[in-house]
Amino acid sequence: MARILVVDDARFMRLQCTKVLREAGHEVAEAENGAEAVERYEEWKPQLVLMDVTMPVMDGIEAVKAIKEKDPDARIVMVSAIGQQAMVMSAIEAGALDFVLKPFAPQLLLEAVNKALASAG
Amino acid sequence: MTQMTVAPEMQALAMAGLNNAGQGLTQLLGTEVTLEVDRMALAPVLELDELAWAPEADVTGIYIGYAGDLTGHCLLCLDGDNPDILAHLFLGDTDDQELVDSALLEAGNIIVSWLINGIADRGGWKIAVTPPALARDMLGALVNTILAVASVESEELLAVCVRFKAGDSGLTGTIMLMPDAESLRILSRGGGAQ
Repeated sequence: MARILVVDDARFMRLQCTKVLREAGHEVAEAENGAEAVERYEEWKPQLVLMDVTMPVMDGIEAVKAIKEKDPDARIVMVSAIGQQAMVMSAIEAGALDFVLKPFAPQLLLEAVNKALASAG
Repeated sequence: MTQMTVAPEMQALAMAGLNNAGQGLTQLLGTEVTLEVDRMALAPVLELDELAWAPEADVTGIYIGYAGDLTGHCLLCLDGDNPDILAHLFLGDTDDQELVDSALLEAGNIIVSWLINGIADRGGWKIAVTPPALARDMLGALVNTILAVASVESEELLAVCVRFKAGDSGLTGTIMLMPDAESLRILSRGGGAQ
């Protein structure tokens, strides 16, 4: 079981991710945008962050940079529909470990979660 | 309406995006989605409101802007019972209207993002999208709102209108894609901006 922070501006998508993760035994907290994610990360110290890209206030790429600046070992997986090659490269360069393209099958999300949790960050 | 020829390079890029959006919709809904190009027109922006083929139809519109190597506007329109059909595919029966709206917004985000991904990957571009916004109004009003913004930036807009059908679900909808003037110039070169 791990503490996982789900960051997405869409309540529907947060519910989908949370359901899959809780059924797999994980503890889940939520944030609605990148700025909230940075704050929540510092408070809760999750072992993994699932991060959307397109969000108001602060987008996911900026949030990854901000979190990695505070904690270089942070494990972050992007979960987004904006999966064009250049955007995936930007996310990886910012410090994300992986990129899950929406819409996703629950099993695919869990595989990415397990792989990220097994990594060094 | 004063229509101009849509260059083959532009058509190819638009179709790459639309084919990708079809794949995204198919994955999203778990049923085969067919996309049919209804209209592809290049016209002066002030005349484009004629593209709102049923201006008085009540629709749920999901607007997403895009920016980066290409800039423009995209509108996903669902008329009649289609918003309810789409929401039911995701959520089943629910009285939670906020959750329904969130599901519709996310559906719009996925469809438009896949469309933009297809164009970006084909052209070698990086294009970000804005968070989606939902509005319920007459189609003509929604289109005119976008055109009012677009006319400040461009004298011409390429409008691609695509009707889609989702398998046996009964779901149909329309996607309107409108790049701005600078993006039109880039699109007419057919990609490879970087």
